[in-house]
Amino acid sequence: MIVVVLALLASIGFGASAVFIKLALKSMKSTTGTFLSLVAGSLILITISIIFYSDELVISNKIVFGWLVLSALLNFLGGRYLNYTSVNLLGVARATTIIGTAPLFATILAITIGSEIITWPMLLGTLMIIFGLLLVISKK
Amino acid sequence: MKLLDRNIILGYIAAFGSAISYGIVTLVAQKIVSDYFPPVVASAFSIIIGMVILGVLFFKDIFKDIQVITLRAFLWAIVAGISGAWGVTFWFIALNNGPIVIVAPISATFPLVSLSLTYVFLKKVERLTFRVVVGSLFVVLGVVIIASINN
Repeated sequence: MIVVVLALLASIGFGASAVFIKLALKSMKSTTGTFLSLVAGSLILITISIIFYSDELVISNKIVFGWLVLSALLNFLGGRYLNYTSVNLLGVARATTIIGTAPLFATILAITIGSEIITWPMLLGTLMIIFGLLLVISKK
Repeated sequence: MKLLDRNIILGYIAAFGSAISYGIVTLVAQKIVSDYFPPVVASAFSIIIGMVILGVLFFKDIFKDIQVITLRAFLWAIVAGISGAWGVTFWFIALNNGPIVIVAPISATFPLVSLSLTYVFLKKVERLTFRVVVGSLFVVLGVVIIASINN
């Protein structure tokens, strides 16, 4: 039961972020909104890391640093900046629904470059996502 | 379907670009977390690097904006950042306390949280249509099915 509550709290955090940034973007660009959100988020994550993982706060070599840069580029320039830009241009409801399809792209990638196999439930999930997206994107 | 204007098309490109980035970063994060760092530490390093890159790339925009933005907008951006960090932190705590087969599908319901909060906070700014609500439900259900199977 505790896991369900914790996962719901995570979901609330992810979902609320888009709504709050929409309120902020009324008077700033999405670059500034993304930057300020990263400043706030980094303060929290650094504090937690220092308290619980102080021994592990070392980047040991260039390869590790390279992975972290790739992760940062995908997560915050590709992910969050484009996320906030789309929230600004499309509105929260449309943007978050489209962004919520990220696991589908992870699956497509895992099938393409990994050893993942397409199953019937996977196909059903994909069809539901496509149908949902068509409803969200289309206008009367 | 009506002709979409330029901003809307850019918005869709940005939204799908974001979804693809988040999809790919899942695989990159798996590599980092399994080989190098605990998840929260990886996120902390990653967010600092992201902040520096974004700050350098868009320094002029950010510097100009910071001088003219209202205190209210500034605070909303900070709250958005705190919400995002809240999400990431609880996601990792949930993963520490239970299987990903439960955590992934539940956390995938975040668009429904956004819809509910949009109704509460953005009533005057954004109108929720029946199509968008039903479409979001289908997307979330589909993602929940895929997230359950993947894990």
